[in-house]
Amino acid sequence: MNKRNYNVFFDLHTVSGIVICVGLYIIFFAGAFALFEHEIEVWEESGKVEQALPVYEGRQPTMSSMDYDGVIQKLSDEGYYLPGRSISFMPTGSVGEVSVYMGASQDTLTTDKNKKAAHLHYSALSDKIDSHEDKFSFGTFLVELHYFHQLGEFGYYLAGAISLFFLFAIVTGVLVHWDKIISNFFVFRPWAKLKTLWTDSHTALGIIGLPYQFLYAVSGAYFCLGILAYKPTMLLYDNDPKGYAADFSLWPAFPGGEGSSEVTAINPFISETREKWSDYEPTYVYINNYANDNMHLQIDGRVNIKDGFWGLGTIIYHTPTGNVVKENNPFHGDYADGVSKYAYMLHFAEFDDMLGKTGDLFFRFIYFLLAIITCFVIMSGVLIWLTARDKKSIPLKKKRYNERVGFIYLAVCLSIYPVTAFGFIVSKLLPEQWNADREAILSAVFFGLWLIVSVFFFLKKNNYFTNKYTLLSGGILGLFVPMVNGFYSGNWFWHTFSLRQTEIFIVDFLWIFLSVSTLFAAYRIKRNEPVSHPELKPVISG
Amino acid sequence: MPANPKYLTSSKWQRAAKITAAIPGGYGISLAFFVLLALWLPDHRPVLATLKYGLFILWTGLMLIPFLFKNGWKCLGLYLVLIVLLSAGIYFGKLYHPIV
Repeated sequence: MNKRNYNVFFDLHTVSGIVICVGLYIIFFAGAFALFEHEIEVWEESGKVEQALPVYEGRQPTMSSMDYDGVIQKLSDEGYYLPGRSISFMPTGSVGEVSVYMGASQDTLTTDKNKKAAHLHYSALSDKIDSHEDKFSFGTFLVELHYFHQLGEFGYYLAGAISLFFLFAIVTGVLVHWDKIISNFFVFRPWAKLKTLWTDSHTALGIIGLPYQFLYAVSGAYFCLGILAYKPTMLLYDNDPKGYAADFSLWPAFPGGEGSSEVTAINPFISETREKWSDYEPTYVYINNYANDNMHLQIDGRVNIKDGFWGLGTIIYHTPTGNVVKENNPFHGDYADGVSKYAYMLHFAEFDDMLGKTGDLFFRFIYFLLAIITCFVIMSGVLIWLTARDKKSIPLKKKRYNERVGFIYLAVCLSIYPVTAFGFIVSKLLPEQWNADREAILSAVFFGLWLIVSVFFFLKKNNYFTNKYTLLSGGILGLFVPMVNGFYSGNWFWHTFSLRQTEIFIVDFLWIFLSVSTLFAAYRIKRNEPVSHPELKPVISG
Repeated sequence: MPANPKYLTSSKWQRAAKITAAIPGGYGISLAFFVLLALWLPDHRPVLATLKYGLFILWTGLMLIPFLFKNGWKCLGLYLVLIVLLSAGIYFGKLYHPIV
């Protein structure tokens, strides 16, 4: 590679990296825990429910054996006016529990109160319906944080833009590294000066995580910037969404119809579909225009992946007549169907179809590790940027500015670790009478504490201090997570391990693993020289 | 170790031209490329499915090229010509091989 191109790529890698690094760090850190959203939900709930928790059955609890009509009857008994509504059922991950979402009623005759959408949880074990707010888990909070849901639609697109520029940074990074990609992979000089340590780990870990990071950069853009790909292609269909929907197995929008007194039962359709396709497991059940002459039922589901690799397994019934409106056979899908299926499976790390429960857990743990490694790569990149600019040739004013940027970046990024550990503790200890405000309390605690801690470390103006004490405090708080769980709900991790309550165990395990590693790191961190800003000491650039 | 500024663009106008070519220009070309293929290839479904993720990969590649040019205006011009050509292809594709 010629010198000019090398320097151009280098500059692009630096600029794109430094612009997105804080956002990207938050995405990967929160995203690492997002992989275990369902486990965190169960972990939080455990100890609150009376009955003993069932043995781990994988993340897809059986939707096929649910009594849909019974649940709908229950909703009606609870006072919800159902006609004209859409009702959807999705597994939450907790055994025997489904998330029930009801859209606002399209029936023009109803009052305002009945028109409101509602998000509920139904537990088949206790046969109870709870509101979603009562169930708001810190896991969900972290999932939402990892696409900046708190900033609304803007946050979603921001996360998409960060993904896109992350892809750009990956490509330029590989190009910069290209000539020495093999030789440098085996170079690790932890005892040399800090700058070489950052560089060696940045490149070696960057290459190890490359396929994973590429996958997440592309799929992140796919999810958050999908509108850029989808909207313009509508022109090909003369702006008719029905044409696109027909090509891509999406369900068409059903217009509302006239109300009817006849209510069709849902359960027979589920069994009919399961008879038609052997081993079919519904993952999503959607009712449109309930109790209406235009009522439709859509069932999404899967068969064993070996029998239908690309297939989607979607069927739509017009329930009053019982006709099949649309059908995507799970055994005969093609590539065009499968793209969205595999984008989901890869991004959400859902490998239970392919690898079984144990394999799925194992791979999610590998994903978790790779996410944390990516956080390290991001941070070491910032530190390289900082040290490389701390030279005599750089004007003092510029140097001070860079230094300040470094303080802010490190303070914001590194403090998210102890704050997350604290968030887990709070989510476990919040008394049940505050359930309705869980989301507000958890958000306030998380963001409030994050702000305070970041400002504190920024004011200390010492990267060594920030690094050491975020690791130390995060490690100590992290060890409290399994302890709080043990004292509060009696679910000590050795009990949950021997009882095979994997969901609860895995959360404790993740925290013990993280805490022990970071405490060890914090213990090993040394100042290289007794100067006030050791990371910023002048180094000769290589 | 920071990139040697000797090799980098110093003019603001040059930089603006390169960034315009890279971000909106790269998007335009990659989108038009896939749409053109969707119209002219026998089966449009796999093309449009690939577009959903391939757009971002191709876009990233095209985002890189303008910065290798010494003159950013040349690249912007080239990208514009490409967009016009692809759009013409799309126009005739929609005329003679429409999807719907």
